[in-house]
Amino acid sequence: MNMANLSDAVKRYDSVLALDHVDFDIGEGEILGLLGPNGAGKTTAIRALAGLLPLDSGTIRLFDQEQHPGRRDLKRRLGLVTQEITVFEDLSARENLEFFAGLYGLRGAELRRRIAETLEFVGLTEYADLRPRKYSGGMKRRLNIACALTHGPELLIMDEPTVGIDPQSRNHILESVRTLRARGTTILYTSHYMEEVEALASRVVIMDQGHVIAQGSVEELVARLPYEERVHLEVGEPSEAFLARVRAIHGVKLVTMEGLVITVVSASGSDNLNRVVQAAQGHGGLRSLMEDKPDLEDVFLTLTGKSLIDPAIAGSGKVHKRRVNGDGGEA
Amino acid sequence: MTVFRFALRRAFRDPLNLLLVCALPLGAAFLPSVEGLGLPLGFQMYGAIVLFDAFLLLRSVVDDGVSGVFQRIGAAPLTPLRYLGETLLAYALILFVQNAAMVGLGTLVQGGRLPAPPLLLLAYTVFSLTSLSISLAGGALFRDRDTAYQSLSAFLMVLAMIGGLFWPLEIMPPFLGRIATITPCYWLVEAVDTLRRNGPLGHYALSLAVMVLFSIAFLLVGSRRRLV
Amino acid sequence: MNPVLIVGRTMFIRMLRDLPSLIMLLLVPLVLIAILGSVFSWVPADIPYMRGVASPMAFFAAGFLVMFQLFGGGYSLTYVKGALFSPMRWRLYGLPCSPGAIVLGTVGAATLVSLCQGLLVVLVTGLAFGVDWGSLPLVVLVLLAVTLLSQLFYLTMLLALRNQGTAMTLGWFFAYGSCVAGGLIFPLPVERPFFRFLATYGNPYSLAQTALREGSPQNNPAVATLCLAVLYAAAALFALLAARLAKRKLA
Repeated sequence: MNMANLSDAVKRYDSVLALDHVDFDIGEGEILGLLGPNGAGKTTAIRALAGLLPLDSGTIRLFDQEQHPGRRDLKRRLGLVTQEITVFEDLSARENLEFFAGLYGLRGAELRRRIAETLEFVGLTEYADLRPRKYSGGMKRRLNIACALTHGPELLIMDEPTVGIDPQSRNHILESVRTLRARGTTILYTSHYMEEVEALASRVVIMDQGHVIAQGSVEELVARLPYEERVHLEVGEPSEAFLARVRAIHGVKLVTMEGLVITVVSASGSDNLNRVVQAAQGHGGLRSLMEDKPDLEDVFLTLTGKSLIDPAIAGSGKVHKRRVNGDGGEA
Repeated sequence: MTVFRFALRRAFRDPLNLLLVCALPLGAAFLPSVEGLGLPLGFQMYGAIVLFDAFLLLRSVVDDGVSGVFQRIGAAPLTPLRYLGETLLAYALILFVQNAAMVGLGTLVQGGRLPAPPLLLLAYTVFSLTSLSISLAGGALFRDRDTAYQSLSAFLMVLAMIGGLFWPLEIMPPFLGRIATITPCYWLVEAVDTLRRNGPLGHYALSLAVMVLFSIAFLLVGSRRRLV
Repeated sequence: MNPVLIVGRTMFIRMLRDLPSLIMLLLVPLVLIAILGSVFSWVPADIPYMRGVASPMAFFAAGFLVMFQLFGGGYSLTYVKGALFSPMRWRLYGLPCSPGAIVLGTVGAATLVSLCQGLLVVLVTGLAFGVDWGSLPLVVLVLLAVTLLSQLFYLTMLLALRNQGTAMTLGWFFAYGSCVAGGLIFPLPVERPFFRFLATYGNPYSLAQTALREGSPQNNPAVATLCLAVLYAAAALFALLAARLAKRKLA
């Protein structure tokens, strides 16, 4: 069953077409990743889904019913984790949860129980009576998530929940998302960090400039790329026998050796890394290994001609990838 | 004079606020005289108007302190004193225009009841500088917007009352009169009173000089605040 | 529990934790009343400022009580702004309650806080400074009327204007302007009919003062009733305006 569905959705802000005939579904129990650069329309799409914005045209269905801003009954079954941290700084964490969960109809002992559970879930139990102005950024993000969870939503919409926080808090949040999914919550997870979406999502929708440019599982999307997988390795005893063994692996298109570095080129989707590593065991073991595998960023690059993360602001020192075809030419 | 130019530009980005703060008070020029007050009512209260106008105009500077823009300014190659000084000049220009309009209107409407209009304008202009310095210094102190607004407005109200802007200090007990002398408002009242009584010009000049000293003092206080 | 009550209760707690505002709207008027009431007790009774004033302490107590109630509308402006004109609005719009409930709860809490502050001023001035407030129910009715009007005026300005700073400025003009026009700060030339009207019925401050003054049986309760009716009618008018604007802006 589809928990949610956007059909031919159009939303315009003055001269900007934020959603341009967008279609996608969210299946029950899945984590759907919504990926795209800044300005792609992700936030507009999820605000429309959450009933915060009316569409100019098209339909939204939630839990098999038509969604629009006046549907408070549907909002009861939703949880929204906003991109900005939207908690009251002058109320403690517990009080924040009490307020928001109270508006979802929770009362008395049930409310207290759910608050305690949620605080435990996000790891804020011992800070429950402190006010968020004393929290770190990661803790505020976790509280931001908790405010959307206490009432036990069936569909959780998370809008870039890990922006601007440390890796430890980020990992905690990602782990929490996996746990929620295991408990049966359906999740729409938006981000422009493709590694998060790759790690979490069963299916991905990629948006750019208001359009859906691709959707499917990560494997399906990557498999569409006319790319090859490359593995660069050094073994203890490089020999022709080793090279022959590697060439015999299914999917391998080319094996070259330059100095001590052996490069194995396989067809996209071959996923030959483990087989190559196994082959190396009988030849003095592995000295070094580097995999050059296409990912969602490559998908986006192929489809749009630009990087998922604006190179001007990436600043991570990461070398921007060049994609090459089997004959070594640039894709 | 980049800060000066942009302070003016920011002031005019909010024309409704400018209209409310600078144009509306000009209606006070039409208020009649009241027995017991030396000046027409509107001019009796004009010092308080200038004091609060300065505060309302400088809200954007308060917001700069709160939003962290001061940090960025702190990293720029200009001193806090220069930043505050150029901002003060920009808004002083706006208030000068208001003062000139007020005195001009008053001269037309109130006629001879207004003493020495050019010197009255000078007194209001110098007091404008002082008022702006007070609000600049106060606004630079706070990191929370609401606390800044509330604390400053309460402080200014008390300052206006103690300083004699609302009622003649002659009717107050002597000890309050002594306290009043350490407020800048007292010296505006002194300057205007001197003009009204046709008093010695030296006394008038002294009052202005004291107000200038207050301006410098508040500016220095405001510039000593750490910008980060 | 009704969403309005949940929002109201939470906003009430938040407002009570807002120490600067509490100090501003409670301590400052008490200090002003104490100082000015004492100081002006020394002043000759025939000076223009004190003409017709039987008790300077009572004059300043009633004056600053109403003045700071007029300022109290800033609560509604600040907290509605923080809820519905900030990123918080996305979370609140996602809740299964209407934006109207949030506004109503917030304004309700602000009215209650402001009213409590006013009643505390009445209590302290009555006990510590010997101010005779007369009929307490009348005082409560007057305070409630002024507070409601102030909250709804500030709210209407917030909803009507794009710039919240300008809305606050208008609120201050409303509060200060009423007090000046009512004769709290400067004596008005009440020999002129226009200024006499202004000082008795011409603005919220004057209406409140007239209601407080005329409300005792030996004076003119009918006048007090009229003043209260005008204040509540004005509050109702701003309530309607605010509701219309909220429907358009917060949909």
